[in-house]
Amino acid sequence: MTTTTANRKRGRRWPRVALAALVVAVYTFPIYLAVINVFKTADQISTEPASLPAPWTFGNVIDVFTNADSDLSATLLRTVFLTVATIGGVSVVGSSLGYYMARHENRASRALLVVLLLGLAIPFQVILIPVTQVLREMGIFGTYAGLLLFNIGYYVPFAALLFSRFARSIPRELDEAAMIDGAGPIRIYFRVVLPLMHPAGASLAIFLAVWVWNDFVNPLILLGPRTGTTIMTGLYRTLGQYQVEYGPIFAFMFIATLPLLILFLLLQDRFINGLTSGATKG
Amino acid sequence: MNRRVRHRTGFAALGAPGIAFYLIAVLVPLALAVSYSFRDYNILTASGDWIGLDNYKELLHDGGFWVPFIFTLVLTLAVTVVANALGVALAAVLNRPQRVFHWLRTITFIPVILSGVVIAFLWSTILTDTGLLNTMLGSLGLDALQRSWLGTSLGAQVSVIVVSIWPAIGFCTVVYLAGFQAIPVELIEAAQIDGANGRQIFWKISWPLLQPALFVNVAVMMINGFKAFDTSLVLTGGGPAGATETAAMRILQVGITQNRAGYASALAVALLVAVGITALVTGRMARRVEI
Repeated sequence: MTTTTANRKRGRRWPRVALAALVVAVYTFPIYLAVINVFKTADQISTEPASLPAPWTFGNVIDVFTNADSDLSATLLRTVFLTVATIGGVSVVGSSLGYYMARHENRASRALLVVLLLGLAIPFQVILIPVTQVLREMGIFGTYAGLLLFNIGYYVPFAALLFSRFARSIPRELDEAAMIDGAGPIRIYFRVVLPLMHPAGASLAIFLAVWVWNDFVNPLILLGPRTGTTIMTGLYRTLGQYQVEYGPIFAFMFIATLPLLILFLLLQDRFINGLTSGATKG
Repeated sequence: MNRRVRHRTGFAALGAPGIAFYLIAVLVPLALAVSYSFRDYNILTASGDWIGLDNYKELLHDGGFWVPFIFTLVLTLAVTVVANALGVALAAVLNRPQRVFHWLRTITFIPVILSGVVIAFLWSTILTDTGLLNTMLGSLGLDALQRSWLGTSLGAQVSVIVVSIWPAIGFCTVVYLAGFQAIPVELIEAAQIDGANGRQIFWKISWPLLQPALFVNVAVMMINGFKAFDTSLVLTGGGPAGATETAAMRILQVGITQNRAGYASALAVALLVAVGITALVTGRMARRVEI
């Protein structure tokens, strides 16, 4: 009985793989389109949108980099800078706030928790218009500093909740030992707690990399038209600029997505663990 | 005593920067939005008279408010239901230990990390009148099925919903896969020994144990649904005739393009109330299934 079941199972494996591969192929078909059309001529894109490139060409990629008003390299650099700066800022203020909350389980900290949870659910469009006003008052509307300030504040709740959950798993005895040695809270945080929080920091960095890199409305509105733009806002503007010329748009899209894709392929287990950590806890 | 006070200020210094950023970026603007909503506020002059509930009264009779809000609700519900159903099905198919399934899982996740602008443009090359879908129908001799997919209200609405569902499926799948993997193998084996078939095992054992994954997926889909913006903007521009405009688009359209920050803020407060009600209902449901 058991052997027949095992045999039947083994026999079933290939149809199963084939089914799974077919389903995933159908599901990810648009990604196939996104890749192959980068390397086709304009003619072939319109006549044979789903065929493989014949011949292969890098003309579209070269075109978006060398186009007279192309700002692509600078835009990529700017977006990398903004993403890294946001991750750095949110990590520092979010982890210290998370640690503070984890070590103060009183009524005030529970109220703070609720207020931070509210921040997770607020659609940014609800506050975006007043944000422009606040940044204007501070004299940083239309600057990278303004966008960075908004990003940090907007993502702090997520970071604080992530870090406070993690900080609870760090034994209090460690804090107390350091305190007996005469260290104050700030020193304990930087010397003892922060170095232990890097797994939470890694998850946070991955989430923020995706969010900040892919964000286009906030840069569109908070940076305004005169300041240099970020990659997805640039893509959005390119869509209007090229109208029906698909080749350069596919190339732009490919280049704009490649950094995140590489990051994901390198760190995929971290990505998926970070994302699903809430889903398996009963 | 002295040391204790120092200790407390030190701790406050750790919490303060995060709270300060949050205050400036979210809480103060939120308070301002509420205050603008009772005023005839103009962003350019940074002033406006207090007009009481006039904005809210206008909103009740404004088709420009109801159409995008109802579309946003329908979109959110449709994405939540369909993406969860297809996500759990895909996860069940992919829930095998072999290496090849690991690769398939990786590929399935890629749509999740794509930007909304990329996704919407990509699908627009499929759905426009001369796009891939119509071309393919034509080459299969199915000219009768060719449509102007984005040209009619219903077609455009369904298109926006389908395109929004696409990355959501990948997200739900990955979350359900993690849920499946947390189910003890012994439970499944015991049921098999007792003669349970695949369907019984799924409904009686797996599905009840997947409730935390369901909750995460529903919460994330709801939150994202209310923020819906990119897909409509890039795919249809909110058209035809405003049929695919979302609440978020409407708010920015009224507040920035029409320069009516006061009225836009009333719309924003209404959206926030809708988010709050949904959060309460979802939380209630989550408590009922006892997560």
